[in-house]
Amino acid sequence: MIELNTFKRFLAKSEVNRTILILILSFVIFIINPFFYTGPNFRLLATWGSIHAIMVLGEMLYLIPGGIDLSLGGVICISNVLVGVFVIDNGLPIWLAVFIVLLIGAAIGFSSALFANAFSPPLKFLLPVFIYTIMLNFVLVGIGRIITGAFPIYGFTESYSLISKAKIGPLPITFVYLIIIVGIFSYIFYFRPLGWHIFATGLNDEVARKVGINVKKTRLIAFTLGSLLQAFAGIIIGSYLSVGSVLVGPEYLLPILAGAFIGGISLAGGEGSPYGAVVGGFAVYLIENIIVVLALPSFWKEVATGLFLFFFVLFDFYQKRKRIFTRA
Amino acid sequence: MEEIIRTENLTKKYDTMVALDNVSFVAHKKEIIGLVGDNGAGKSTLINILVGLFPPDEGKIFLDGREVRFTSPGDARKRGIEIVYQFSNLIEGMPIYKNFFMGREIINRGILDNKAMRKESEYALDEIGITKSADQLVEELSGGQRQAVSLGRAFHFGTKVLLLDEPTTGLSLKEVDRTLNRIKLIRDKANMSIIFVTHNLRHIMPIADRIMVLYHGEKVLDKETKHTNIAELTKMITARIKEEEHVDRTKYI
Ligand SMILES: Nc1ncnc2c1ncn2[C@@H]1O[C@H](COP(=O)(O)OP(=O)(O)OP(=O)(O)O)[C@@H](O)[C@H]1O
Ligand SMILES: [Mg+2]
Repeated sequence: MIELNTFKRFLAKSEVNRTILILILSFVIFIINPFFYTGPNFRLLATWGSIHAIMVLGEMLYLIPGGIDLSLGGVICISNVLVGVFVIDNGLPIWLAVFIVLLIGAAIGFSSALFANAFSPPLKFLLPVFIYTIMLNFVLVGIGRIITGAFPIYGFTESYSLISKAKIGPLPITFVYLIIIVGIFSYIFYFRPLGWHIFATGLNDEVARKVGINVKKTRLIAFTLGSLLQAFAGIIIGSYLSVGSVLVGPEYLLPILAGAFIGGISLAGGEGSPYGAVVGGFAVYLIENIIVVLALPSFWKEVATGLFLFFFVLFDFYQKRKRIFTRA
Repeated sequence: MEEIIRTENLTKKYDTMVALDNVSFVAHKKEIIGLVGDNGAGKSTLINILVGLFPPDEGKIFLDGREVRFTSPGDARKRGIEIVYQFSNLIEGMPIYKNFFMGREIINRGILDNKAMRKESEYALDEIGITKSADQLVEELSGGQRQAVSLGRAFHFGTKVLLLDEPTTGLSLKEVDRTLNRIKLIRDKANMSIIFVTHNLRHIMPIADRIMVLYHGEKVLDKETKHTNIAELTKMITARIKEEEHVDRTKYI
């Protein structure tokens, strides 16, 4: 009986049941269309699943400490555009352009944290950080349009594509990025005090402050890294498409938020895991991929993503409620 | 008795409202001081200054005879000052051992030593008479048990001063008894001075060595418990005496 209970609790973990569901789902799709399990589609899944997962990981760094990043579309947009401006228009070497754009991404995250810190306890009247990040989203896309006149920037050399299309052995490079990033996340979250502090800040920043945690510093680190990851994702996508375009970016916001919630990261803060973020990111891309593989009209993607999100959030809600009731 | 903490003329204003008015006092090792006063008398303001949440406008704090200025709650903690609030300063969604060590984690070879932290927190709780698994979530504990965890943490880390801001308010009779016993236990086992804020004189009279009364931010009484009584204290808290002395109260307005 005990074993059955532990098994049930294991299944109740959002990361676990989501992984299982995704595996079952992909098997069903495979039966319907065997192309799903072929090399080319695998490469697509690994490449774009990883890119989505990186974005969800970045969003998670805002969500767990109690914020929300609505600027990720804007950051992705301005990042891929700026690489184009620097490399094509100004002749900077690619590595330098990438480096500067990553710095800009970090600075954007830093500014979000400054805003969040300015309007957090001990102040009595608080302002949620989404006020600032939603502003950023508009402003960054707008700036992208202004500096490019909304024209896409073409003319990248092959070497720019390598950032997203190179392979390490059999693995697409984006998947390797993901593994490294998840490794760093796991180290910080489970082996370093900073991980505790990020969760504590999201669960109760007032108490966290009172027990001596520097919640401002914690937010600065988390948000800065969060937007840095979005800038990185922007560079990868720009590299994959060999373009610097304002059209790249804004469309990711809602799917990535959906991915975060599907991955069990809570909007209320203080809940989530790197593995959950990866599962959420892959789930969102998987839905898109399945629509393509089954040759369904693409607007089914929205329907499926929405329903998926809704189903999983409700599922988590009932799991949590059950836990509280069985306790009392 | 050895002096631990002393304040000189602590003053704190919120705009023009004087919340704390020239308060000086001394607390000694292994001494329990009851700090009482009406709503808004300035008790929490005094405690919050001592715990580093904000600095006083004027006045000095001495710890072991040396002047100190706390720059943050973390700073005061590092110097051995611990606090337990009415509504616990614990993070509900986290297990006991993380709450114990949050902000002062044990690190071994560069990584968190969860095993050591679990063991030490269970040991400290055991010391003050409560047996709990270190992995239990705080949200699963009763009010009294939460207070016990807070007290256990203060006992484990505190070396100088233990501040208690209404730790018995809102607890059941049984839990009040247990909490008072734990406070006495900490007094006996640790070398701290304890400052206990409460509205309930019956909670504080049996365990306090000394009672201080604040009235509109001013210290109006500071006596050994055995030399005072509930009637006198009640009088001082409501300050009927002050009126007989024709104190100029316009300054409070
Ligand atoms: N942040 C603040 N801003 C303005 N006034 C404040 C603030 N905090 C406290 N006060 C005022 O300072 C005075 C002292 O408050 P304090 O909380 O220290 O009283 P207290 O003795 O702890 O009262 P209680 O028994 O109700 O807890 C009160 O008049 C209160 O209204
Ligand atoms: Mg108070």
